[in-house]
Amino acid sequence: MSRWEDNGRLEAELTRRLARRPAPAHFAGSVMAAVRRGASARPEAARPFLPRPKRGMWAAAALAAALLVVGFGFHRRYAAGEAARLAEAREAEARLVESLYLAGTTFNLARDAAFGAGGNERK
Amino acid sequence: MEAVSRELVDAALADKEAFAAIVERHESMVYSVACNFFQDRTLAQDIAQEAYLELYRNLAKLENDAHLSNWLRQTVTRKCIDYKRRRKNRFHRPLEEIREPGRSDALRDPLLADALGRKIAALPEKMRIVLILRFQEDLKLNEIAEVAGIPVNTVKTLLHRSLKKLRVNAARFETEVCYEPLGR
Repeated sequence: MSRWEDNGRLEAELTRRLARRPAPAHFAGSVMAAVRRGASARPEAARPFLPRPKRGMWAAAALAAALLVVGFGFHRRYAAGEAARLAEAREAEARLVESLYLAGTTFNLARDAAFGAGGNERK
Repeated sequence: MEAVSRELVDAALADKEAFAAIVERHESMVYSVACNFFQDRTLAQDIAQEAYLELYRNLAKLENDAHLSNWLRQTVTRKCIDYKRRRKNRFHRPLEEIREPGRSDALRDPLLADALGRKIAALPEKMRIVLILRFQEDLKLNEIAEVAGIPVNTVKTLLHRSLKKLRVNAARFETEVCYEPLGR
């Protein structure tokens, strides 16, 4: 058996090792100087406690980042499809206008042949 | 046991210079917590100074002088942990390099202290702070829990694990170097 396992030897050594030690002689003076200045020597000291990172914080951040990436991917994919559909619809519209025009012309010619030019009488 | 009075607090609130009495009364405790935690005297002074400035800004909120002592202990403890978390990869001087002024080394066992110092320095931050509060400040488990802001059962577990770890490592060290303590 190790001598560390009996009679609190480790605890006694820890008590000695971690005992309070005197602060340096100039310590109180430097604290008072900082108090008189009204600020800390280090800018970080002015900040309040930072929120402690929680256990699941990194997992949540990773999930949010992953969702952002997936969302952006979907957006790009569907945005591209939408543009193609729009172009196709414009093209179809143009074709329809053209065919209507042609159909209208054909109808006018047939009407003129039946009723005479300018005639629309069915009396 | 400190009397439940507000003498120190009231004096410091009335006169900035009276804050020096508070600093002098608690400087050893505040500095030692930071020094034992960081194993770096300069950093320990910075952290201790921050704790005092924080105290100065919150003087009006303190109920009495005993509360002041607890508040200061809690603040320096949390500042140590916060700083360590912010600077995970900061280089620290090993604990064994720090001499302890005001204490005679003649009766101590340097090899033993060195090994133990390295083992303490290698402990995770919460285990280290629990050890410091237990062995430096001689606090009870519920007091440690309050100061460190962790549940009592967690304190028990951390203390048990850290002692076990130190014991195993110290025993291993003993075997490795066939070490016999001085004075035997």
